[in-house]
Amino acid sequence: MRKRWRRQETKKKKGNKGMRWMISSNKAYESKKTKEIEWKGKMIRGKDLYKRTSASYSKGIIQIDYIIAAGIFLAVFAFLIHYTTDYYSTTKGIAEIATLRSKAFSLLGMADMDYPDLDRERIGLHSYAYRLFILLNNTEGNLISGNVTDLSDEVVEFNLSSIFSGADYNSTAIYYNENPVPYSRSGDIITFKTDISANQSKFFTIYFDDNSNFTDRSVAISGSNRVGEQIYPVERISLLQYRNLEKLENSNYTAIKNNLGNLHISIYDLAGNLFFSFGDSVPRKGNIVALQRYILYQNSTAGVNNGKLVVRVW
Amino acid sequence: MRKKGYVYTLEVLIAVSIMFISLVLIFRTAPTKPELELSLIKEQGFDALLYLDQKGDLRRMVSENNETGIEYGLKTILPLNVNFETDVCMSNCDDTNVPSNRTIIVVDYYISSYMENYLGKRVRLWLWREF
Repeated sequence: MRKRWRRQETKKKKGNKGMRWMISSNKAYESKKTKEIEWKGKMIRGKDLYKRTSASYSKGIIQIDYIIAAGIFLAVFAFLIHYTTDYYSTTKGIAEIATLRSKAFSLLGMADMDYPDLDRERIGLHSYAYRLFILLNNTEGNLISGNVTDLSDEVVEFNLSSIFSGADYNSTAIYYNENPVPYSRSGDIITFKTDISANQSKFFTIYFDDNSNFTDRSVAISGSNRVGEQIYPVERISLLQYRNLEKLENSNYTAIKNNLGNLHISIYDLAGNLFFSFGDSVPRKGNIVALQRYILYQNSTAGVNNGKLVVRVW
Repeated sequence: MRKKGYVYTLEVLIAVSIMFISLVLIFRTAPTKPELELSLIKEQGFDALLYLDQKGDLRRMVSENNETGIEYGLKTILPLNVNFETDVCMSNCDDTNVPSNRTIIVVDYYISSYMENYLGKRVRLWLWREF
């Protein structure tokens, strides 16, 4: 190497001719060296052919910032997807439950609507029945005959047709303190028997319907009528009619389900015993909304009972 | 030139931070449930009074001014998470025990008569959520 430089110096003294040869010789030498160096994987220029720069060692480190950026991007993207998915699924769940609750709320209104004979887009079990009170007062001034004394077979009679025209006699139900009292029917006259102590008063509740289809349940009643009874005016009440419950039970659930969705209707008495059930079985998991309402319902023997209407939708 | 990678990384971090802050601001408020419960509670309160009337107890208790009996009957019907207060009144109703810092639902049920006696009273029912 030193020889070449000395030769170049010698040539320089000889003039331009030598200079040209020197320059071209240098270029040839440099390009050759550059190629040699490139082949070895190093970039070297000019006089510093044999000096190594720091940039050549740092080449791989430049890629790390991309890796970091990609990693951060992936982490944020995953968080974003998770957060938005959770956000919208929560919104969807809330909307679904609100819809179900609204549907159950609407179905509870079946206790206020009559049975729709042709309409399959709603359910109605409501009907009107009638109630009257009879007061039996075993005190002086209310006696028909005899003295005030304990009575074991006091008979009470009333003419239903004179109280209410168009009554269905077979639907008559008589209660004392929520206990049913048997009665007999002879034409328009309803008769029942009770025991009453001296100076005691008793209120009897009589229910009857005007569009039901019960069978006759009258029994033989005997006794004597010694105390006068006071009959109060008839009042109309709302209840779930047994006839409508039978109609619903015999209806096509699939047709109702196509219009109203999945549902289950139950009626329980106050002791929690199931009296009526209609619809699909409630699934074991999923969004299920259940609402209940206290109602009066008619049983198969025209008895009027207190109970709960429970509606489940999903 | 030597710090080119550093600048790129810094740029990415700033971009990610801006995105993150935007997402937090946009989704800061959780989706709220539509307020259906108040209408449900009102309906439950009215249905409870209607049921007591259909049973034949409400008018008798109103004629006797028996508020305790009415509240006992309602207690067995209304859900456990609903508190209530009742008053049998005509024009001015006593709301002493009704809390002032809650959302209150009011139901009025008018009673005209019982048996052969004219009453002309109303049962006012105040309802509120316990929780």
